[in-house]
Order: sequence, then C-alpha cells, then structure tokens
Amino acid sequence: MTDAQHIRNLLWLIVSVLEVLFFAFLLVRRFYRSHPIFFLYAFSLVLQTATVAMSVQLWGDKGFGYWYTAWISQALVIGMRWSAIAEITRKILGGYSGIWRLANVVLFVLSIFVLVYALWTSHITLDLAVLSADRGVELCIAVFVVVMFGFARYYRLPVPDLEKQMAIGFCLYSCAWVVNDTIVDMAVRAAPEKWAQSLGATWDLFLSAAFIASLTLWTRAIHVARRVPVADENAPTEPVRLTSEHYARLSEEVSSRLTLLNHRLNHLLGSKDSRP
Amino acid sequence: MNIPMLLFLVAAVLIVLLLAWATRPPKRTFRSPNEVLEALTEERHYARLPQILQALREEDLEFLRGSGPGHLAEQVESERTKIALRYLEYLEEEFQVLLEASRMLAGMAPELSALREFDRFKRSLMFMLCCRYLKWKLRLGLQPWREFGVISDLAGEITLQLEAATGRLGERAFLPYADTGTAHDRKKSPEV
Repeated sequence: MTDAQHIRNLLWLIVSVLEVLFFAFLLVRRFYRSHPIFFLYAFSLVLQTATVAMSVQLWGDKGFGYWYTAWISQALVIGMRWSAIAEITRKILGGYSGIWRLANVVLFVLSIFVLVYALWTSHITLDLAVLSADRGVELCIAVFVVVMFGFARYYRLPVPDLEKQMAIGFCLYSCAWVVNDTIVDMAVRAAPEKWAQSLGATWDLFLSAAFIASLTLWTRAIHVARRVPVADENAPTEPVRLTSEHYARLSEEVSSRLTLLNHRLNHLLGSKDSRP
Repeated sequence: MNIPMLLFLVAAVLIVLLLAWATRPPKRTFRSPNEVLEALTEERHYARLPQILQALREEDLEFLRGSGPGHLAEQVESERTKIALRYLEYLEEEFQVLLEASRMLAGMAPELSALREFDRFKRSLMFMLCCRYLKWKLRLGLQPWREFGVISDLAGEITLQLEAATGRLGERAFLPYADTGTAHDRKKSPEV
C-alpha cells in the first residue's frame, strides 16, 4: 500500500467516525423534532460512507461499480443537503409571508441561473462531466445561502444563531467543494497520472478539513442552542408581526405622517422649480 | 490556468467574503412599530433644502468676491460648505430611517412586488452613491446643484412607496377573514 493510499484511508476513517458520532449526537439531542431534514441529511452521510465502503469491498477502488456508487450517493447527499438548506431558509424567512414569497422566486431563478452558467463555462468533457456537474451544484448552494442571508440582512430579519451557524457551515463546505472540484479538474487535465498517484490523496486533506470544520460548527451551534432557555431560544425566531388592530393603527398613523411629509416635499420641489 | 477555472476560484472566495458581510448584524434596526413611528415623527431635514441650495449659490459668492474683502468670500464659502456637508449627513440619516421603516413594513406585508422591491433597492444604492459623490464634490469646492435635486427626489419617492405600503397594510387590516392572512395573525387575533 502506498503513502497516498494510507493518507486516503486514514482520512476516510476519521471522517466516517466523525459522521457517526455527529449522527449519534443529533439522535441524543432529538434534533429530528425541530430539523427533520437536516437530521436525514446527517443520516444520508452515514449511509453514503457505509455504501461506498461496501462498494470498495465488492469492486475495489478502481472499478466502475465503485465509481458509480460513489457519485450516485454523492448526488443523493447533495440533494439532501439542498433540502436541509431549504428547511433552514423556511425557518428564517417563512414567518414573513411577503418576503418569503419574493425570496422563493428570486432564490429559485438565481439558483437555476448559477447552475446553467457553471455548467456552460465548464467545458465539459465526458470523463469530467460528473465533476463539473458537482461543482455547478455546489456553487449554486453557496450562492443560495449567501443570497438568503442577503435577504435577511436587507429586511433586517432576525436570524436565530442555530440556523445561522448551520447555513454558514453549508456555505463554507460548498465553497470548499467548488475549490476542490476546480483544482481536481485542472490537475487531472494537466497531469492525470501524477494526480492519481500522489496529488489526489494529499488534496483530499483539504476537503476533509472543510467537512470537519463544518461538523464542528454545527455541533457547537446545536450544543449552544440546547443550553439557551426555551423562552430565549424562541425569541429571535418569532417574527415581528402585528394583529389586525395594530395594522390599522400603524397604517393610519404612518399614513398621516407620510402625507404630511409628502406635502412638505411637494412644496419643496415646487419651490425648487420656481427658482430663478 | 484557464480563465473559467480561475473564475470558479474567484467566485468561491467572493462568496465567502459576501457571507462574512451578510451575516454581520446591521447597524440600525427598529424593534417595534412604535420606534418606526417615533422615527417618522422626527423633524425632516430635507425641508431645509431651499435654504441649503440658497447657501450654495455661486452668485452670492461672486458678489462677495467682487465687492467685499478677499478673505470674506473664502470664509463664507468654507462655512457654507460645512453646513451643506452636515445637512447631507442628516439627509442620509433620514433616508436610512425611511428605508428601515419600509423594510419593517415589508416584513409585515402579506405580499411584495419583486419589481418594486428591486426598484427600492436600486434607489437606496443610488442615494448612497449620490451622497458620497456630493460630499466629495462639496469638499472639492464644486457646485452640486443637480445632485441635490436627485437625492431629494429619491427621498420623496421612498416616502411615497412607504405610504402605498402602509395603505395596503391598512386595507388588509380591514379584511379580517382573508385567506392570505398569516397563521400567526389569525392565532393572535381570535376576535377578528
């Protein structure tokens, strides 16, 4: 067994153990109650590791069986990741019906645009098609998260710390995948042999480190959120909304003030126009 | 390294930077509708625009340069520039208050128009750029007549949009059994 294989196996082992521990942590914390899709995502990670390990046993790490299993399971995991992000987005924006509807349309259109653009600019060749598709989807997820945060910031919506940390973790991990896929793409095109022998395994360190960083971020956020008393935990997630009476009163008062401001403005604009 | 690949790497870095910016807490937020009302009831500075425009008129300074002592025109110009700069700062703050109020109302609105929201976003960007540009122009001793008119228009249009938004909220308030009402509203107002 070469050094490169040793490194790869060691990383695989560390990441697998961490995935199982994280899933157990979520299970103990009964995280499936508040974030069922995120919980399923964590489960899909464990399942992917187990499936890929079995495929290596069956076909070896050079066989087509392994290759197909690895990438199909990766596609499923990315699908789950996207669903988990959608769940977080709904938790952040869902309470504001107007903003939620607008954000849905904008985020959907933007995601499609980024995906199409990423695939279009990738100069896809048959052997690197999966890698390019993966990069496109990851870029799409990262942009989705940033725009979602942009919405929250622009409309001054309170973002609960748990959801914030989870989304940051997803975004950073997706960015790491974009960088990873791009570097792999370039390296494989330039020197495929060298990449397969040594560089690939070394580079795996980067992605593993990014994954471990995301896991740490999520674990910490879930741990801290648990410690916060229930009343405080709910406080920031509760959107500022008014009852019908408040709406009516606010509307009346604000409208009268604005009318006054408008009159002043009209007067002002009129006086400006009449200047010599 | 080809350019599309380089762009992917740049995009990843850019996304991380944008993420850092987007997750920062905003400088100013209203916590309750009462704060919005309070802010809206404060005195409006843009009502002082005619006086400011008058203060910036070149004719006055030319007259002073021609008939008064030499240093007097310079002193007047410097003081008037300071006043205009301070006025701009107040105007910027006022615009931010209006913008914050409109954001808060958007949070309560049952639906938003994408075009109108984009338009407001564009206006807020334009206002910010215009203000910066004006400040530099004033500092360099140039006459920014036209730009003052532009930022006044922007503040006015935001005000009009706010009025329309609150009007829609008001209309909605009188439709207690509307299907589009939020669950929270219905839950909190069983009497409606």
